[in-house]
Amino acid sequence: MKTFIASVILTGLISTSLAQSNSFTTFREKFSGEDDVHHFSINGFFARTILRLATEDEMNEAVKEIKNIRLVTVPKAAFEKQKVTVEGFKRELKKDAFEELAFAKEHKENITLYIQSTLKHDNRYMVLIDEPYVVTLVEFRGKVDPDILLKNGPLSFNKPQ
Amino acid sequence: MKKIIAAVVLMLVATGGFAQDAISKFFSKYQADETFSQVTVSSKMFGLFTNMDADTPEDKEVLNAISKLKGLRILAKEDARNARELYKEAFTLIPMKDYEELLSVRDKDKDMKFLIKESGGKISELIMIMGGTKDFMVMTLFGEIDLKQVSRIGKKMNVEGLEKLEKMNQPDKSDKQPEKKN
Repeated sequence: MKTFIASVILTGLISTSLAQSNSFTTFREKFSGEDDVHHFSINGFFARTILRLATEDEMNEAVKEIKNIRLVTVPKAAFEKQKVTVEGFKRELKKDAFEELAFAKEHKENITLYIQSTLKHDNRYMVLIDEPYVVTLVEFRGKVDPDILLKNGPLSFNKPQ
Repeated sequence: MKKIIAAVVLMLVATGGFAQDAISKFFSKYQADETFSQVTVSSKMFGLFTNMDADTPEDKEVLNAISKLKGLRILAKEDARNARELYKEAFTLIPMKDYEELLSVRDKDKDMKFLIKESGGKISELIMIMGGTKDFMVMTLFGEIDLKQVSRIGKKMNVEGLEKLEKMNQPDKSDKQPEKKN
């Protein structure tokens, strides 16, 4: 059973790595080997299952057509060590045809949401979270309801709890 | 001659940049201030709504209205002691001669003003300025704006305050209609 699970995960990871955007791959490879850099990728069924467990009912509907998710966290110290900046990476995203959808800044946390249009219903999304000590990059591919992106995304800070 | 052309081009570029939206000056002044929150939504985000399927004719109208928007910017400060001062300052930084007042709301703990910019019979910008005892917010929505749909758009985007415009759209459908006829 363990072998079966391992092979399923491995298959998932391999197919995921093939679907990564150039920007994500560049970002991940730039910091690989640095201290406290964490990376994970999940594909299709696993991604949706985890998202459904982690999110509320309304979001469940929005994520049902997500095909894969990748995440990497990099401490700011690694940026300094590599002599690169978040702004520089944003320029790389633009070169890789990622367009900015929204930006939000609150409590020293900058969140930028990008889209790379591929097919009509199969876009690639990138979320860049720039915090004082760590930068998180999340990439996911598939169809996401823009209505949900707006409601649960950068504007939600404005709503009273 | 070249210098004149260069100067004119430079002036146009400069004024074009500043005239992008009314709260640009406010953004420039406070964007580096960590106590402020800010949000920018691009036209690309609004454009995504053009591909969406609507369940009802009402939804279709809202989606159509959203897809015509070109951008949204918000600058806000919560738990601000100087919220009232910021509210007043907003009016000094916004070129008021370009805008008409659409609606003014005074609640017990906050003031709100909605301003619009009209060109060619169409509303190209809507500004909402809110100043309370503790909170301040200035928002600008630009593009082709359908006022009838703005309160619904506000609900879709979770923007607090835009629901105030709902009353303006439906004066006759109110259940109570307290001050319908003067």
